[in-house]
Amino acid sequence: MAAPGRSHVSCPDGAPTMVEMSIIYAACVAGAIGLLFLLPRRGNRWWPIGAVLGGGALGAGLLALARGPSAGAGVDVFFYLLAFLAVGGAVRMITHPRPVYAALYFILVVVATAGLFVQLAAEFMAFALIIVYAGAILITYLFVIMLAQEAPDDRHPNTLTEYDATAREPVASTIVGFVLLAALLGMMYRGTGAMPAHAQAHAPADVELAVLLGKVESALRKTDLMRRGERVGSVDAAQRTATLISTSPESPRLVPLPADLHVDNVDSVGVSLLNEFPVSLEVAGAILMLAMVGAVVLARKERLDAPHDSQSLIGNAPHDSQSLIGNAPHDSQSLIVGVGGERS
Amino acid sequence: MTEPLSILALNHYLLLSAVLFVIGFIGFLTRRNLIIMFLCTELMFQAAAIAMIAFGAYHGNVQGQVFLIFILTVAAAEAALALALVVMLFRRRPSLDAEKWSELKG
Repeated sequence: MAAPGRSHVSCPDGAPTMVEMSIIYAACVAGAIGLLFLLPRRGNRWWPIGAVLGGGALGAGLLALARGPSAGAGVDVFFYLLAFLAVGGAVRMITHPRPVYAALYFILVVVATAGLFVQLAAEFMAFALIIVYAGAILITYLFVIMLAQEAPDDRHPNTLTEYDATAREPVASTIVGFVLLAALLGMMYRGTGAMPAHAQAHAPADVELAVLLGKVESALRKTDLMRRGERVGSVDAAQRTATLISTSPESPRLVPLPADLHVDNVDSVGVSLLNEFPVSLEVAGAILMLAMVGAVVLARKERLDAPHDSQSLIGNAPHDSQSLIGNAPHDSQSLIVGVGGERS
Repeated sequence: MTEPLSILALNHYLLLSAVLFVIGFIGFLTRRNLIIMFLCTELMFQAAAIAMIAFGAYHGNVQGQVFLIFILTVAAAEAALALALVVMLFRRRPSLDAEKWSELKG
């Protein structure tokens, strides 16, 4: 969090000054007190104080970031907007006494986070986050909330249950949390201040084109550079040329790549995923499979009238199919033959 | 890909990540509803995801994003199992109060 009074000369590398650190800690204290007033309890009449304090701490922090010396950090106004949405949604999520609203506020946080990912040129992860989190996980949460909600009183269905309406040890939790936050921020600024401005040289652009032969080929086919019967043999991403091979005598042939052919975010994520981490990809699939089976086993309801083991089920089966055959009309001869064949 | 992040912009994202993580942490400690507690762990996941993508952008490679794909997978698996456990606990004792299960402590 950059203080407005920070001088450019004394710390060009992002290391904080004493003023800056004290502003960070003051914002932490104000945020802690604000959150304390906002946490749910019965007859909470002090929540406006909490809203003012917490919103003030958040707004002051964001304003200090936006107007301070780090204003030219390559972060535009959408970062501040999305950060405000994310933090506000998160605070409302943990302070709203009704679980469904908490889940809806978490969707707001997810969407704001996806917007931040777009700011960071991670478009694929932004959409994956919205699809997986807001689309799948949160819907599951909403279903479970609605299935597992107990009505505290049939005559007053809108009253809150005791455990939703009151927080558990709010003072101790808030103090612990914000001490952790202050320590994290202090360490973070000291640590990143010691880091080099850019950790490593940026990789040359479009280097993944050398393995994306299909993309190069479809881009070349849209132009007139490629003839019938030719295919892309290899791509030199640095020189931006492709070698075309065919059965004709002038093969191999060198053609330039189209100027608008670039590797986008999905391409580079896919190349990295399949070239560098193929085993992890398989393990991730196995984890999803195991989780699906585990969830089905855990959430299955034991039925009292169901047969206890599969043996008795099999034992009943011929009898059932027999009666089915007996009742079946005569024109379903093939079905009877099929069932009989299965039994033998 | 675009230009790598500067260190000041990285600080912006790490700050937001730390704030979101701590809010999720406080929510996990204070709320007593089992489902809300799991939602707060998901909030902490979000904070970690922001930090990972920001560091990936700072280093100018996509490995942060690839790692986040795996984290998203594990988060989805964890959510499915956790919600199945919540449903199982709710059937056994029809309340979502975490305090009702306090005899489980050692």
